[in-house]
Amino acid sequence: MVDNKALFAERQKRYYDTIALRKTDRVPIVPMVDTFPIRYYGAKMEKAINDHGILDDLWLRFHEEFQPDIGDTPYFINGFFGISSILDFRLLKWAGHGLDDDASYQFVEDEMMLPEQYDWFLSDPSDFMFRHMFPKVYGRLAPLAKLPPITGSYYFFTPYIWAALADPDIQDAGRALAEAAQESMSTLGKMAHYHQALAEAGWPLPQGAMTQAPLDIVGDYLRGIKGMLVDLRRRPEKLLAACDKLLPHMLDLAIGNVRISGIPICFIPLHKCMDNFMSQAQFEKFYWPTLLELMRALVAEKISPYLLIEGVCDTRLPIMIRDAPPGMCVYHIENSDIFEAKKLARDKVCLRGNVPASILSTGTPDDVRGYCKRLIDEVAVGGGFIMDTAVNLTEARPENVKAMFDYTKEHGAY
Amino acid sequence: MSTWQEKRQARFEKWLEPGVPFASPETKAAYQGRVQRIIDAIELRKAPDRVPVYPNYTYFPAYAYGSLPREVMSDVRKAVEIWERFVKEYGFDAFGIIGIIAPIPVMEALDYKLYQWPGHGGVPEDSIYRYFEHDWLVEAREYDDLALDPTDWWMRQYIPRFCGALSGFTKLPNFTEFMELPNLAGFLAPFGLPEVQESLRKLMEVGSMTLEWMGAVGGLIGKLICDGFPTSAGGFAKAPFDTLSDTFRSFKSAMLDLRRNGDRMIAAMETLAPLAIKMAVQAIDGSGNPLVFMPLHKGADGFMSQAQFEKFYWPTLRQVFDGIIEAGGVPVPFAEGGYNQRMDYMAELPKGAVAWMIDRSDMKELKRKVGGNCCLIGNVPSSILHAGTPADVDKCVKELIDDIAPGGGFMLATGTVTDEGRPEMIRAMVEAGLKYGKY
Amino acid sequence: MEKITTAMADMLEDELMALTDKYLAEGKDPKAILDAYQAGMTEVGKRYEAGEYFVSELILAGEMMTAGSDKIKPFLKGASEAGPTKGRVLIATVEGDIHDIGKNIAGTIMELAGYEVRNLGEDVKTTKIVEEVKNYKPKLVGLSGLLTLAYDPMKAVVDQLREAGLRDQVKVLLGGSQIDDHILKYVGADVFANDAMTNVNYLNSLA
Repeated sequence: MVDNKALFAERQKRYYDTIALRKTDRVPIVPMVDTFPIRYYGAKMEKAINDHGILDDLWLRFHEEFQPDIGDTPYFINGFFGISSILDFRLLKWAGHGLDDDASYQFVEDEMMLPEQYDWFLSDPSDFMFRHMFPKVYGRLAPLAKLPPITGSYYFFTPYIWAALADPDIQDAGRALAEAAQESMSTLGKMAHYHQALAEAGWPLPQGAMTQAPLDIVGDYLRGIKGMLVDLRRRPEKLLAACDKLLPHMLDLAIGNVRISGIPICFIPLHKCMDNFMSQAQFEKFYWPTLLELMRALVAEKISPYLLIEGVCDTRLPIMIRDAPPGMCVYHIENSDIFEAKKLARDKVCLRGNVPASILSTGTPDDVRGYCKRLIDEVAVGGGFIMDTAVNLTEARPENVKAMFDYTKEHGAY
Repeated sequence: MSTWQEKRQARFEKWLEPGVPFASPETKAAYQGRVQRIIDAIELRKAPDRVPVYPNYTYFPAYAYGSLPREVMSDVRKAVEIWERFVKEYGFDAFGIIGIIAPIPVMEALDYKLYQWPGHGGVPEDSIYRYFEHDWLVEAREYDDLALDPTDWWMRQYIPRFCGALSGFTKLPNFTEFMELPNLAGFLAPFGLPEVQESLRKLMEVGSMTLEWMGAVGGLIGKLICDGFPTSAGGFAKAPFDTLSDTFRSFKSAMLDLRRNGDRMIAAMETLAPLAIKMAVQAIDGSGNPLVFMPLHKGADGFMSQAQFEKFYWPTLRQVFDGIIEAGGVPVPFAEGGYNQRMDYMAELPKGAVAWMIDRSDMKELKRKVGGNCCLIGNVPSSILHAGTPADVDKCVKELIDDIAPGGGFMLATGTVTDEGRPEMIRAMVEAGLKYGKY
Repeated sequence: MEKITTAMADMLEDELMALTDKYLAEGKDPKAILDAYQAGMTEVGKRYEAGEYFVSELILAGEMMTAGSDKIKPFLKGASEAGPTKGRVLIATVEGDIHDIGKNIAGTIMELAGYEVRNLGEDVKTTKIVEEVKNYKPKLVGLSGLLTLAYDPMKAVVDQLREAGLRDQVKVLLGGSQIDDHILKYVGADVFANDAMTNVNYLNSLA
């Protein structure tokens, strides 16, 4: 009988040692699963994402069949559509909610914060979030925009600001918040249950928290990509001030969740640092400093920053690798040149990636094996490499996924 | 871009023509006459007819008709009845309603600790409310929290401390940390905690109670306007230092902070100033009366040195003045106590922008130093109103008008806020004002 | 006029707007001002290709161009607002994908380069794209998709164009960060672009 406890420990050690650039027995394979199990096992997208029992079963089945080196959780995005439905989350579309029953979720970006609203955000961020962002981001919280500022409650005026709460629309927003909170508690309970089951089956989780680079928050949620990019020239001081304002919160999120999960790895997907978005000087002035400060603060807390470096960031990588706290970071390469990156990353950063989505979705198992071979030959040398897809497995052909697993396990030994 | 004078002119016009169904052409004329009289005084013009008589009372109407603050704070219908009668019988040129906006049922439901009221917390039954001295801002380092994210400090630290019914808010998450979907469940879950739910439920309840109360007060204001009487102010603001030292910190801690945590305090006040401006401007937008009442507390002579006043009190107060002026509003600060050492600061305000309510400062000296810039409102002393005779009041008003009214820019009022008082003395003051105030 | 071109090329937004107002007030030829804007845009494109400028400058240049045209248009009275276009382009994000940012930026850049662009939007049905190719007769159709799920719908468009006998009348360009040579071959398109200027260069090479 397989001892799952021992397997858990063995996998965790292989993963942590790889991140720390220590010698291991072989290259770990840890793919970003996304919605692959749903499609692969023939489940209906809309049905699965609305039933945590189905999600749990599909994911455990995937682990048993493919035997990855680290577990994957559907409680990242796929597990949260119940909450998103209650609140009518506007920055995302998913099966049955703006997309076909069979579609994977997609993010929507918008200019949520107008240029003249920087000062509001900077001077009173929670007020801006509560009375401006919540109502814009969540359809059912729209009435919160009618509330007066909470800072009006002082002196003997306190009771008066609450009169707004008698508004039936605001009461409905309150109910929505309460329902969403109940759903959140229930989802967190199910998440804990799944993570327990996963651990008992022998799989540790890949990360214990998620946060983002401050400039990505501005570009993803507040100003939108266009707004953020024009602000680089039109209002650089405000943009920098916003990043500074966000930094402590991005850090709190990471540290708080690591404390809860007990897993000292924080996932940081990078969205807006691609080579062609901005100049190198702009990258070094606007993007990198607050991200680096965030990473350093995490490392000071003994938390590993795990960066998903989306798109092509070939010109950024030398700086990102140069400044990285050694032996603490994982850089997941999407479309950048991972082979070039490896030359700089030795003894510095663990690399992860990057079997292209195009090969996995349209190529043959031989194509996949060819690419994996190159990764093992060139990037795995000396350790510090995790085999993964470039993006995720969503549209991958099953035979290609199998080829990727089999090849890595057969040929990934050190 | 219009100038502040243009913006203010537009607000004055709206104040004069509020677009309400006046009871009769006579009440409309009476209303507009009163408003114009006040505007002329503010703009330092010699009024066409006479010196306005401006209100400075909180609970006096209750006492005047044999009621008590406790009664009007508990029963809004009673309060409305008394106020209407008072406003119509006493003949002030404007009316104040601050005395009826502290509803005891709401404060009880909130388990409100910032104030104590008659029959609660040891305040005598026949008295008014009083502020409860306490360090609601517990440690000086919270000044930093306040400066960084005021709403967060309010919501998760301050409110749960002074509203017992909202203590669940300490469990709320920081609102800036809601954006990413993978963190959403963790962000929202606290809203479902029983103590948070209970606080939210109470809050909804309080909301409905308050709305009812405000509806009655709003109805009274509307009716009095239609019957010819303007409100004394349309907005409210405080000096940031007073907000800190009245309602965040106990007086003693605030005074110690001046020496120990000065920079933090200044940063916190710089955060409060724009909030105060925003709130005041929203209020005058909503009410249509551009006057912003600003009771000043710790700026009076004796609380702090001139150097401290200049460093801590004045800059952010001036910022609030300027913000209100810039938006076309009129700050009406009440210089409670003596401001004899502060006259140079008052004198540097833009001409005709601010109207000062004066308590115990030297009016003649003020007229000389500040009167060229600011309208002065005051200041029949409480000593005469309490211990004198109607004839003493008459004499005092005559002297005041003789000394201060020439050239315009003067309104008659009591120096001290009137609560308990002798009705015949207040009537005598109004009558004397009407008699001697003609230009 | 050179000052206009230089201000545009150097991203001097305030100066550009002030100059435009001044020249228009002085009664200078509005067409010449517009041409100077175009020359500035061309220079921006060159700098982008040379790696001096980035998407941020392309977007800002687009906004400056729009703001400038809005000022100039009322003065163009009678004269046709824009000269003859360099050709028609049809763009769409394919079925199942709702991302619009990359496609819209590419569309703006092609318009600024003198092409007439029809933007069909996002999540556009394959049949709709084919029908529009038939009616609108573009020289190029740009299919955009950020996600890997866009591969098959892109292929479907090319397949149906072939079936409808339209494939040799139009060039097919694929756009998106997950597009590479594998996908180009798989879909059977003519060219792919991971950034906005590739489109323009390809279009210019067709002429």
